[in-house]
Amino acid sequence: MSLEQIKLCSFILREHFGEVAEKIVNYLLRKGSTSLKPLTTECGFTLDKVKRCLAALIQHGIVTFSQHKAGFVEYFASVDNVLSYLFFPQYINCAKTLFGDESELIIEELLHQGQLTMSGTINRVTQRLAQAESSQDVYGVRDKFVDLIKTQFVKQCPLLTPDSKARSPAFAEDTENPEQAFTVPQVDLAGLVKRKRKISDDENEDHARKKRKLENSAAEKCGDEGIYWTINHARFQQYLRDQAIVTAVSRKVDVRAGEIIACFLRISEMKTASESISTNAITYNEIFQSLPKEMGITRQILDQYLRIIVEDASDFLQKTGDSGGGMFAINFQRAFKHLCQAHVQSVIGEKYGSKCLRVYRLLAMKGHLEQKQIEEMAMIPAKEAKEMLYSLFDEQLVTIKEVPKTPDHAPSRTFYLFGIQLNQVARMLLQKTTKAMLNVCLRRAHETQQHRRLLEKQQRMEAIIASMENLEEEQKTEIEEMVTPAEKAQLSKIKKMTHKLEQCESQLCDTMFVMEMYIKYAHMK
Amino acid sequence: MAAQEIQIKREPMEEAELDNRIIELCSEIPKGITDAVIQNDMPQFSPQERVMAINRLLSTNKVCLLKSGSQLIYKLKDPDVGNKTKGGDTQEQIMYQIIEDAGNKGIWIRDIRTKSNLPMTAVNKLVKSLESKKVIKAVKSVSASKKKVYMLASLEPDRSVTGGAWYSDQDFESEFVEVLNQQCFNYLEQRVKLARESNSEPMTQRNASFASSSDVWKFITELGISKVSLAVEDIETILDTLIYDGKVEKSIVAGGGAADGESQVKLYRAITPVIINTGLMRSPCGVCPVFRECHEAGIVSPSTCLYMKDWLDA
Repeated sequence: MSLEQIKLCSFILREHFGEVAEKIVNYLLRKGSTSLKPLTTECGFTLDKVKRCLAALIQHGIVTFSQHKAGFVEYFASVDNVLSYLFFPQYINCAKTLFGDESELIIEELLHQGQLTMSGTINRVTQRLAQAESSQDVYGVRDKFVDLIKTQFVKQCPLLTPDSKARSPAFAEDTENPEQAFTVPQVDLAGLVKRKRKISDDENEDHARKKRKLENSAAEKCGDEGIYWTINHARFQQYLRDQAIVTAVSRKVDVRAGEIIACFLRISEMKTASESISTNAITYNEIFQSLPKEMGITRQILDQYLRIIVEDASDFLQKTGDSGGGMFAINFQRAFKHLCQAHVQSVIGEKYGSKCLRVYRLLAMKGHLEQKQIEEMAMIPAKEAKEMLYSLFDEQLVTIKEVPKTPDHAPSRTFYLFGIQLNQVARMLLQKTTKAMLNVCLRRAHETQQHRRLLEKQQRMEAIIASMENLEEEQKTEIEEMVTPAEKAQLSKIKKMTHKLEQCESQLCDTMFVMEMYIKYAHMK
Repeated sequence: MAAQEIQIKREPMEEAELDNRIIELCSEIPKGITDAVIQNDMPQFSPQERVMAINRLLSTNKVCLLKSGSQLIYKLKDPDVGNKTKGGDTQEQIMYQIIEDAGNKGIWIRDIRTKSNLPMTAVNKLVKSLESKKVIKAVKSVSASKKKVYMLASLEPDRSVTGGAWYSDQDFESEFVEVLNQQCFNYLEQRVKLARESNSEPMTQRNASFASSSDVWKFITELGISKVSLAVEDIETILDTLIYDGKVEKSIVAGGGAADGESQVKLYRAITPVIINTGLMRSPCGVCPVFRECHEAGIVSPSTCLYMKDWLDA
């Protein structure tokens, strides 16, 4: 948890939950954990406000609570869960590419609401689909939801244990039965189907009232009350991790090799515990059998591809044995070490030039080297090499190790060996990326703030057009002309800017992800 | 008396015999001989006679006297030395000897001084006079730019002195290295492209994209960009820099196909990097020089950032 991370957290919370939540979580992060009382006094909000805010944060998994030994309830906040908001666009995209539009909406709803019952989610999604005039019915959405549960992208929230003595509600821990989180409950959808028909019947009824009424009736009828579902962050992270490796292999070797690795990872998903350094070994025959037939890869070609990926310097795939036509495994620790190196090298190459990159890579390959050796091996003039090494040292990208010949550490009788500590470099880059992310986010907020009046005007205009359904073409243009051409130009410029900033955010997300994964795996044994 | 006379008469003959024998011994053992060797070979001569013989040889410049540890060693003198340093005195000859011993690595003037035990001024004078006679030459060493080393004029300086093909007048030719680096990479890249276009099996494609160091060497020599002739080893060092650049990978295979009977062949292949560019570097913050000072509400802040503005307006 660093200063930059906390600042970024504050920003995310301000955007999504408002200033009360920002202050409360900030206080919780500073203190580690507190009870309810100090939250109200220190943050200066009324008890009611704090309570409601905490409820929302708990619903979204940002704040957790437990009962202290002394009897009071204490609250905790987690940085990681807040930062995972940055990955939400990628989660949604992942659901869409894997399972289609309905799943995209399901994930969207779950992210919006934090936790929902299955029937509630299906209800909301079918409503939205109906608005978009999609033909998908309740059962289709249900099937998609079940798919998401089975692939563990969605998990069940722990159930409450009825314990009358405790002052705080406690959750049942499914340690003895982890499968529990992914069992599909029996949901009676008859009520939902009927209601859908009803919606189409009385369409001009007041929308809000209807919604409230329908939600009540849904909970009554579907028989899954109390079973709430939420996003399984770990599973999405795992998917993103696999995607990172697949893209890397496709770039390094070719697209077909990437597909083979993707297939490999799909098989290993079922066989490997999610928190292990490397996948379980998978035999050549298994890979061949599960390759999609339309790829048209023969046994011989597969053999060649596997050999190429194994022999590649990037260390993504290892051969672990010869049985079953050859056993293969992916070591995530090594794969992410390589990916992390690639990102670090990209930074050095862009910022300090290709010669600096040569020096850095030389050190990464050879371990410890003296300045003189670096000059000779990299074929860089002594003066230049010195400058580059010292500037890299200044930026803390390389380290120096002193090896004295005599115990007095006299500089003239000491070897100075340059080296690299990837772990530290990765952490530093992660900080920098976090800060850059914060900067980009702040800039985006600043730009929207500056053009708020104009954006609101546009929204109003669009709202008017949307509300008047049977609008003549003439009237429509009249309303549209409320926005002057100069303003239109400005609007398109803002749109372009926000797009650019958002794209940048997503790219920064990728860098953050690789660094985090590397750090995570580097500490596993 | 008569006997003594006879002895005196016999002496010149004996002397000549002794001299010749010593020279013979010296040429048999080029490393040099000690007094003990002469004594063993010709026990009939007394120490005085041996001393006189050595002195005679020394004065006629046939042998020279060297010290090895605590022993004295007699060594045959190079017949050319006399010619080359003709007109020079003994000091000059000693100087010549020392410089000659250094071979093509050369010797630094201060080392000459310590070896010759002459005062610095004398050494300077002598070296200058030898240089003017074009017997020796001065070469600047690459390892220390101010250091001059002396060697015989006829010798080609060693690589460690000149720095090999990459140095001209003890300056490292970084531009030349860069050009070669580029060209080698171009060649390897073309190989990969050709292999891709062949549309063959993945393994064949991969193998076709490899080029041996001698292939690259041939390509470079045919290009004719280098004025100096380069060896295959020189090209290999260039290719190594490409490996450090992350553009090329190396693979060593047992050399069956090599015509020159080498036991292994070094193969090189251009590779594509794993990622295009990291996200950090695609944002203006990645290259920002005042990134550390940047804070919201500070003098440098993300909302007022000029770099960000330029980037967004572009």
